[in-house]
Amino acid sequence: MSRLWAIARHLIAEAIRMKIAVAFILLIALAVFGLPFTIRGDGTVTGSVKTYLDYSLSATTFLLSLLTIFTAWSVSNELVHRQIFVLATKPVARWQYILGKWLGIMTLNFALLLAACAGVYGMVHVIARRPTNVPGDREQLLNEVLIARHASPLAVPIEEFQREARNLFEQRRAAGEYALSPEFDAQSPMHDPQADQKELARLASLIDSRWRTVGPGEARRLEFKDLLCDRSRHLECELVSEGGARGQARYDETLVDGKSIKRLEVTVTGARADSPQTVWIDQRRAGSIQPDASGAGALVVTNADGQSWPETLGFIREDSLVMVGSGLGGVFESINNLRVRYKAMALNYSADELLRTIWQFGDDQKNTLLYVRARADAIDKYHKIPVPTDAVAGDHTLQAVVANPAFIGEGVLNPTIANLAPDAQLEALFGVGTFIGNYARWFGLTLWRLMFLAAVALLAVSLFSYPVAFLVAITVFLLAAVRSYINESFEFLQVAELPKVLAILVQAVQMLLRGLFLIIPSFSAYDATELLVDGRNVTLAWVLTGFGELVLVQTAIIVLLGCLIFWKREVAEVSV
Amino acid sequence: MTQQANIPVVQVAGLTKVFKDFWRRARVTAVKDLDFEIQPGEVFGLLGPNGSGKSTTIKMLLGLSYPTRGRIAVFGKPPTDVAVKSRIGFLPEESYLYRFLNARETLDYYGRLFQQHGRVRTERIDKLLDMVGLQREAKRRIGEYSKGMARRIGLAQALINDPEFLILDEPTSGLDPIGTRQIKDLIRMLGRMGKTILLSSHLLADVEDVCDRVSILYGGQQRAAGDIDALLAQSNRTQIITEGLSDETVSQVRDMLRRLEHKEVLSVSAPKDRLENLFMKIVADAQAANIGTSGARGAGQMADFLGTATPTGESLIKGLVAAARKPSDRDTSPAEPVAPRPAPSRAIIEQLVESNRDGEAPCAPERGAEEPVSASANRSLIESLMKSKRKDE
Repeated sequence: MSRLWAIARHLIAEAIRMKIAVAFILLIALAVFGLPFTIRGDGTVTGSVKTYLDYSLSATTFLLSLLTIFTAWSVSNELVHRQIFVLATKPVARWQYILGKWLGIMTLNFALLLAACAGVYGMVHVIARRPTNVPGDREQLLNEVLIARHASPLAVPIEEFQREARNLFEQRRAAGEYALSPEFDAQSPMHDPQADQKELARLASLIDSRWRTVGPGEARRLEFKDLLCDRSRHLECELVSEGGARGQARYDETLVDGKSIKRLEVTVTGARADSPQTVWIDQRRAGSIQPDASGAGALVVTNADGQSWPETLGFIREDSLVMVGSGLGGVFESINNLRVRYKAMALNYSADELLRTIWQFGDDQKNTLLYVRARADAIDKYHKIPVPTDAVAGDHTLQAVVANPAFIGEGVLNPTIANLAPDAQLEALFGVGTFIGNYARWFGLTLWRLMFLAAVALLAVSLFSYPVAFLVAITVFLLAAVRSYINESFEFLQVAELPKVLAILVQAVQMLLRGLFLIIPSFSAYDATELLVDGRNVTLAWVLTGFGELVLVQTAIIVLLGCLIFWKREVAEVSV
Repeated sequence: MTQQANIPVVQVAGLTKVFKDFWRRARVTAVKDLDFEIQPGEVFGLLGPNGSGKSTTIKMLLGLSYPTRGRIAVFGKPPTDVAVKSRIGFLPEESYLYRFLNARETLDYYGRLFQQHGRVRTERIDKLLDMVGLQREAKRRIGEYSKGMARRIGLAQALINDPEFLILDEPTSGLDPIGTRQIKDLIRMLGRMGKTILLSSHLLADVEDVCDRVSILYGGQQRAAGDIDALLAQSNRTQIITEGLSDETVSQVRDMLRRLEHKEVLSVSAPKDRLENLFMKIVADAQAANIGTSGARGAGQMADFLGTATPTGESLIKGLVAAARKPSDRDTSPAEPVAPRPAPSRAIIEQLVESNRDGEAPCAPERGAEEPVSASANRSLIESLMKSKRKDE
């Protein structure tokens, strides 16, 4: 191990002193610390942070990928300038040499990636502190970007549709609607079971489409499953008064050992100091505050044992807090929300291009509170509906009813037909972790990609001289980066419609690329930048799977191949 | 690790190397059917003009290149055996050092590859830098070094692991006469310590000064091999060195030889000192006078960790015998039988000695430091160098 580490240290020293690493460090620093001054996003703090995260992390990853390929030049340099003559006569096995170089490249990558990530994190907080005039901007930043959210898609009742389709099919067959089609006749020798399946699929699709289309005056019951979110209630309230006093209140309701623990904390400043302030919530007395001479005071009430709470208090979202004496008042709002995200789509809509819907979240049969939201969302845009997590039932499901009103305004018929098509991407997003944790998992996935690239670069320099090796490594890198796009293009390309010669050429290229893709992974399958920027959870399972596939299998194979090739190589001969 | 006395350090049998082109067609036969062995404790010279196959042979010995045919064994193992390399030190034809490292870092890097512990490594580095006279330039990058200075560091890295077998490819290349003398002295001392040394050079004088046996290559084939004294001896001549003689005495000697042996005196002249000795004397005098220089200083003492391996068996005896004899006497093992030299007539010598006692200073012999006079000159030179070093410290 000490030999490996000696070779690794040597490579790092070479990269820094020969200025290779220095050039890339400067470029990365420019990306990390310079971008915040050049980008604005959509003008909001949230938009700026998202844009900055996207650009800075993408630039850092790209630059480190190039640095990885350039640093492998160390091997070529030693072969060409013959330092390998001295090195190969030391008690260092060939595989130790290659592995030591790989270790050096990855140590450099790890250090630079860590430093860049720390810089980006710092700059994110600098950007987040910028002033903003957009209401809810900072809350959106905290709840939708600087967080790790899990997305639970809409649970489509496919089995129900298939049952309905089968029933409908049997009804139609019994009614003789398929009399002219002997392939559907079970008694006929021309009966085709595949035709039955096709018809069933068609009917199921029709039922599905019908279900997703919500006309005026109609409603649909939706369900989201596996919402393993924190269902505690956390409400906050800003207290304001005309007299200059101010205050804040926070209400928390958490489950501890099956018991519901309620805690209310109220703080005030600038209240009258000569009289006690009585705290009322929804016309029920919660407690009293005695302000001091400066007018500051606090009230904390907790029913730790479930008994000391003065009265059994149940809150709904619009509960208001009033303090008699100071004139302070405010309305509680939930701060522990999940987001139901969807793209507003409609088959027919009014001139104002707004999709008006009424949503009800919760299921009183499962003992959850019900929350109603009236929406008017711009069509073909994505929208997010905040829903308190206590609308999620104990079985981790969220029931929602979406209704399309029959009228908009007084006596005006609603022409809009809401469309919950798959393209609407209806999903429930809830926080499952912190941004730091998500960031760390992104770091891991990025590091796995760099490990693979380092192995490829070392394999290339084991075989070829530097210019050719660089070309090979860059080609592999680019193919890995765009592999998903190339695969998509294969699917869309209609080879049969091309002229014959061109078709043969295209097919040959496709075969070659498909062969290469057996060993070249798709980097986009291990790229979590988009998720991180969108505040979506980068799962640990994904990171570990990536480690297994990309590092333990592919990287290990390539490193072994590089060691084998270098072992057989006559280092006294310089190849081109 | 000790050498097993009976196993040659290097065994080469039928060694052939044919370089092929991209299409695997034979293009150049660099080495053909080469056979030789290097015994433990001997200084073996590999001679030949440019393109004779010396470097190719060395590369195959070190596993840098693979033979087309034949067999190579180093310490009884294939050259690619990693464990064997911990017993070898190699100074290539060019130093091939890392320009971005300084001398200390270079030695530290190679020391780490031998898994030397920190303190041992640091001590060895200090001693080697002192030995090669580059302690004051240790923090300068190799890229700023002159060729000679780089060569010294190259030698130091070859010795970092106190190797049993040292391969030196053109070790004096790029060195000034001082450095050349120091290298040769070092080779002699290492040889006396029982180390096995393979020296490849086309500087014949250097090889003649230090080697026990040589192999002369041409066109990839061995043309001659054997003990160097035996190869160089002129069996049909006799050399007698005396103190200064008068013309009359010389004339009498001519007549006597004509009369007794029926042989003519081929030449009578005052032997010349070697230019190297004159140069060293001048430098020693300058150093004794503390005249400054920006180049490498005089080298320090031999690093004491070198030769710490305890030789056994034949190599031990050789070392003891070598230490007991005059500095450059060697225990030769002639590879081929040579015709015995005709012994000079004792009567003639006694007559010459009797008739010439005018006390002229003897001259240094042409080859090596055979004579006591030259040995004392070398010893005094070394002592004066050490004195000047002590003054510097």
